[in-house]
Amino acid sequence: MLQLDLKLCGECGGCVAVCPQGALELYSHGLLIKSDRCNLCENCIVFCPVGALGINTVQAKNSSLGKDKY
Amino acid sequence: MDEKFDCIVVGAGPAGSMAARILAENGVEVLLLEKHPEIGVPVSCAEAISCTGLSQFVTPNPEWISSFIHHVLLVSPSGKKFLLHHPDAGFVLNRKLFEKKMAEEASFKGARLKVNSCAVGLLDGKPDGFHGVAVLEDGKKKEYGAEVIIGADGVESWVARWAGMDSTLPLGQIESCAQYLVGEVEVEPDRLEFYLGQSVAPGGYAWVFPKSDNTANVGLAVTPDRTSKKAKEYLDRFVKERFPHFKVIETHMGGVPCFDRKISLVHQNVLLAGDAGRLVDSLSGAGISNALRSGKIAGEVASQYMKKGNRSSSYLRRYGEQFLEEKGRELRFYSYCRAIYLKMTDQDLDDAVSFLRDYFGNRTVTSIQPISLVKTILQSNRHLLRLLRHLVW
Repeated sequence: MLQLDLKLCGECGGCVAVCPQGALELYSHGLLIKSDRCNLCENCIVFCPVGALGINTVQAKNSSLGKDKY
Repeated sequence: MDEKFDCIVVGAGPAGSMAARILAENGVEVLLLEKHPEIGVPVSCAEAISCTGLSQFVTPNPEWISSFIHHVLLVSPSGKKFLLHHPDAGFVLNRKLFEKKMAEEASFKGARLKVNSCAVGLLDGKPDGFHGVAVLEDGKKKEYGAEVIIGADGVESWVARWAGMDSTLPLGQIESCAQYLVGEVEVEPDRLEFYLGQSVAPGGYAWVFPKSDNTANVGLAVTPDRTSKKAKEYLDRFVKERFPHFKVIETHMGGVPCFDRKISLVHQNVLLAGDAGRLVDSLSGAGISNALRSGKIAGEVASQYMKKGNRSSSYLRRYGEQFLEEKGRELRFYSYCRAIYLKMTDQDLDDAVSFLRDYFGNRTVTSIQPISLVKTILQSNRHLLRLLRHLVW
């Protein structure tokens, strides 16, 4: 799932412009990610000048850990 | 519908405030929406503008000018330098103050300004367009009616998307920018500095634009699909190399769109101005002057549309036609230049800087024709001429 690091985001709006799905919106109070629209194309991640966006891999890691266990 | 206006302008940047001011001066009921609680914040701009680019639209005012520029320094990848002397090269603005003054002026002329008011959609229901804008105003949902909607909502332009225009930017058509406002540095207060090279900023350049004799905007732009590193990583390295000592006062980021000759500036009763219309010089990334021009023309055309009762949406197309008649050739030229710039090797950039140094010597230049200058540079290098032939003009 796409995740935003609020501490890094400068609200410049470039990620919104490169998103082909319209999954990002910049409101008065910051960036909103509409995960249901996001297809993980990673354009926004590639664009972001500071690396504020990324894919959350916690879930994936957990599941692989689970596999090791059993 | 909470209230009706003749025209709604989304975004109180230079393009939006200019459009709103022109509309208000022409007696048009105009609402100017700004999503941020404060105009001019956050800054997403290096703040430099040429003298002519500013003064044809706004009288320069020392109140919102940080520095007056008389010299431009170009540094090649291997460290070759070219210094251009120009008595009226341009200005570095204080964008926060400049935008506030522009919006204040629009408001003074009669535009209704609402801050902390974020447009969240266009209202359907008109056969030939949209009949207003849905707004989140201080967190409450409101609906405002309008005959004409001007999208001056910057690079992310949701107004363009809502209107059904395909405005998604490919990664090769946007520059990813990071900038620090640094303090406690030694800079020439009247000199812009540009640094070129693949290792400095792939597909872009780095800049040092003085804000005073000890503060400066230090930033850089990279083309995101040309590097796996972030603009900020390049910036951190550049700033440490350029300044032995510095203090970061503010951090700014930005996305600079490249001009797209295929983009349409008008769709039904929606007009796009400034960065929302991709009206940027793709070589330098300069956008303030085009934003002011597009805001002015959009305001004038929309005023005429309201006045004459000439309510066919084909009338509004005059905005796009007039803007492109004035600036289309130049913007197209700069996008070709960018295509060539992206193909230039560090050796080509070194040669170009050496060529400029020989061409200008130490003389002071009083006027520059950028197009003819770029043509001269291209003609000076066989490799560049070869590149040129590969591009379709």
